[in-house]
Amino acid sequence: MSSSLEKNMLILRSSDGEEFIVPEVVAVMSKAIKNMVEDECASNTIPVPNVDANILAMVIEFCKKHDESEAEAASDLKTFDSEFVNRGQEALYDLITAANFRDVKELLDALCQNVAEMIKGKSVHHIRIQFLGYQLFEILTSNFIWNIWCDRDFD
Amino acid sequence: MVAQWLTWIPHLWVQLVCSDTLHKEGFIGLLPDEIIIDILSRLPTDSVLECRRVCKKWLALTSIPYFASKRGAKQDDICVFYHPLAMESRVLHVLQKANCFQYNILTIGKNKLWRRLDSFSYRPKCFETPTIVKRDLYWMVKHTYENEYNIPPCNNSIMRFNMGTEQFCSMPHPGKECHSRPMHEKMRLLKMGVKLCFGYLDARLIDIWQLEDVKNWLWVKTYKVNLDWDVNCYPFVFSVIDPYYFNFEVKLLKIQNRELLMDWYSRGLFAYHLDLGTIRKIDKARMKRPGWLQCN
Repeated sequence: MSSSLEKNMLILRSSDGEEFIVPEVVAVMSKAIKNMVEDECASNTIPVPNVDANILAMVIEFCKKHDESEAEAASDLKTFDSEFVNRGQEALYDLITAANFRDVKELLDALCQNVAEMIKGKSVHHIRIQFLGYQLFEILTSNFIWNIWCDRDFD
Repeated sequence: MVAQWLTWIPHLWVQLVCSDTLHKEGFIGLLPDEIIIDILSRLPTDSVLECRRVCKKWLALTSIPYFASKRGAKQDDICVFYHPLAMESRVLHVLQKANCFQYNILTIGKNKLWRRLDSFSYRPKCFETPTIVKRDLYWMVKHTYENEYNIPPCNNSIMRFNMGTEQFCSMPHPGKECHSRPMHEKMRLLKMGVKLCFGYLDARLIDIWQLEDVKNWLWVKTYKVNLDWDVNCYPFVFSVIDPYYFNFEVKLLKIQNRELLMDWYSRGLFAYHLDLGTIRKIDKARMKRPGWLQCN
């Protein structure tokens, strides 16, 4: 298979063994992969551990779009970004870990901005329940403890 | 009959307690600290204040200087404190004017309101982390040096903001007048119980002063900490021991339960008991220090 590949194509193998053929320009948007390619320690197939096929496909989709649309209007890219990152919490978590681990700066930026938008304007209790997995009874007790802790600092 | 009525109690108990262990921790809690800081640094000020109340970890993450520098242009121009009488948090904001500093205060509560305070000729160093004693906020003054050899004024090296009167004032630091820039860099304000303390690191000695009388600005030197510790017991991790560099790598962090907590960069984190004179090495701290903790 690799013999039929063009020179500037790379194969990325996800943690569950699926392979993706990606142009090199797209793959090197990940700093980690870029370093591997530059140091020439990568053969044609680059293993991407910790990232499963599903998430890897999403990351590649994102990178492709960003690579293609360099000339396009920035606002188009922005709308694409905001739609792309609009996902459930589990996918968001996987994407952030993948982007962080593989060092894809643009994706990490878009994701963090999205999570920040989600947090913006929410109350403490809302944040605790939605993002930190707190239960109702924990909130009641922690609120109690917080109040005591605040008062203690004075007098 | 009665027993049947009570069956909901264990059921509720299971719902409350067991569901907690089964429940997956929310996704932000699982992210690495750097990412959480990145996310929180993108929020507007009032959301950051809300997030500081979410949990102790977030409070800690939004209190370190790295967070302020991540927020970019907004770097250390705000300081958040809790007003005990009004029972609410307030934000202090500083803006540089021609040759003085304009301070504004924001009350957060039912009605958000920015108020202008009097301008003051100094601005604090490490504005976002004041030492709060009773109803006063204390900082070391940040001196602006136009020229390298400018002498810092010792008479105005500590500044205070009173929550009640909302007035600023500046005071001299305890000890002799030094008029030396590196010496001012080695001074730290600390808090012990309900008293303001002042730590000054000179060669291998730390002097701890205590503010006995706030009105008359009367300081008493209470402790002397000798840093000449046994090299065998507490070895240097890095072998570079430069006598000039020595002072800069010991950082006084805080006083807790009469123990002075200090970060000695090449040796680790230590707690020195001020009354007993014993040293305790805090082992966990030396294991791994993330990159962002190292910036001051």
